[in-house]
Amino acid sequence: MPDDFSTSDRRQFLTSSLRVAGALTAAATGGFLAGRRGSASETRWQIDPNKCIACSRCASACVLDESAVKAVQCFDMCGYCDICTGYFDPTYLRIDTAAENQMCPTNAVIRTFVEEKAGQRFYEYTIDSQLCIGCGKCVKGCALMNGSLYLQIMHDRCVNCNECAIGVSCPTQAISRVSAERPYRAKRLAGILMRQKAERFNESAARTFVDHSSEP
Amino acid sequence: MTNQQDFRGWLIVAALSGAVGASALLVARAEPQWLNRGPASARSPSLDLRALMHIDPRLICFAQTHQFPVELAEPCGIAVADDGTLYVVGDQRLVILTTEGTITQRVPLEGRPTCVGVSGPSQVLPRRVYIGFAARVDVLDSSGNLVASWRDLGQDALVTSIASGPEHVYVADAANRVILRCDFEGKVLARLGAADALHDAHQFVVPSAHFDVAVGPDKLILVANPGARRIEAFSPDGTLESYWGSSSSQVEGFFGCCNPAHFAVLPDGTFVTSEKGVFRVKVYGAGGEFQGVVAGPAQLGIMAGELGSNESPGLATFDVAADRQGRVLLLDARECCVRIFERNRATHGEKS
Repeated sequence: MPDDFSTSDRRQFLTSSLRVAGALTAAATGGFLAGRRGSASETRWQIDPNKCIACSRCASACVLDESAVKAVQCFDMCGYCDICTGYFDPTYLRIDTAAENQMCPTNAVIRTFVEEKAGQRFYEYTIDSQLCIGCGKCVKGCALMNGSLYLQIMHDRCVNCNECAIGVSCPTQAISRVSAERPYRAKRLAGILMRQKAERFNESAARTFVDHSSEP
Repeated sequence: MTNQQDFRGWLIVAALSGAVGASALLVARAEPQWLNRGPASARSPSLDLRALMHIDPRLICFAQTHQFPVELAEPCGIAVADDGTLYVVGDQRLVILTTEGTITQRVPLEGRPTCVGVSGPSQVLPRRVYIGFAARVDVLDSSGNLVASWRDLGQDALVTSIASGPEHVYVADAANRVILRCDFEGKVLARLGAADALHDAHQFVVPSAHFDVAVGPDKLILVANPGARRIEAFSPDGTLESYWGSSSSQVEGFFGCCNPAHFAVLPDGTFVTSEKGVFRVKVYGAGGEFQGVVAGPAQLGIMAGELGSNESPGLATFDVAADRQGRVLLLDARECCVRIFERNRATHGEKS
């Protein structure tokens, strides 16, 4: 067999392989994204944080062993306070990170020092979603002051049951179906703040938040 | 023989089991530290706020004597004039009431008010009513006629409290965390708490839109620094003279991240504070020593389940004022009414 035929076949083979691999990758990515975000006609379960009373049933009623509900933080509403009522138990003994002073039963609220200003120490409070069980204890504590913490169904965990077991047990009917394209719901004030940020300052994070949030 | 050995074996097993069971029972009853990582309530997945509801009845030194509605859906500010006339703002209205609670006037306002203040009889412009809005102050005469509108208070101002002194009007701006010292024409003369690159200026910590100011009987400017859980006293030139207050979930201290939300000064210099979140109204001496409780959540008709509620009244706060008779006037934003409290005679007798 002449050498030029052999070279031509190899090239053809490589080109075809790349074309097939590219097509498969594109199809896989498209399918994955479509599956993750859903189409306009599809719906997902979500909590309306304006109706939620943080009763802790989300932690136990979900069909998953570890609830799909997690606490989230709206930093624009947070005061970065030294004494966070979503972090410290009301009967705290000391202002430190010792377990007996923390409210969260799984220590999922992470307290990180930010700065000292005007004689006060400021802290950032974030949620470790791996540890959060969605009991809403921090949400209820935070609602005593600024109310920046709230509960949401996380769609990387939710299996989108026909009938949401948490929704059935929710005492305030806070769980309803929302568009799969906008599967999250903001607190009323958080929504206002984020829309202002997106419109006035064109912040990309705020725009992403607005794009993925349904109106309450 | 074998049966006897079996019986002995069973007997030993039974005795050992009994001993182990009894030991476990004793250990469990002793509740050692390693068995519980913290108090049972602290590690529970539901938040029990009943402890915050409880106030020792012996600490309550005021009693409610009157209550009347204000005909506002969302009342937010109260002030009392020297003659006892009450000024309450909310919705888009100013309501003027007599001491007995009879509404004498309803004045429509342009926009949603945030607070109200009134000047005393001995001041340069007596009986002027100052109404705060997001970024302006409207000045009305005692009959509710608009006299002036101050709109040049600074960028993105959020007026949360107004206090009239003998020479100046003090306006609390929660957004910029400053107290504006204004003349009677509304010109800003100084900004107390403004960041100063050259000097180490005193700054306020205001995590939420609750920032109160008052003028004391000794003409000091009194400011609630909520993030520091303190009330601070400044001389008219802005020098910090003194401060008091501490953070605590106990009744003697100020609860949570940012309290007191509102305060007023009685004629004898005693402070009345109103806390958000836990709905406690308390009295402190002129030097900040805790004297007692005016009303707690139970006296205000708030149930334990309502504390930490996501909606109002969870985030509602009760503004407070004090009249010349030493009575405490509490604006109940939940019941949309004014509650008047008077010091218990027995308690008052003891104090005096």
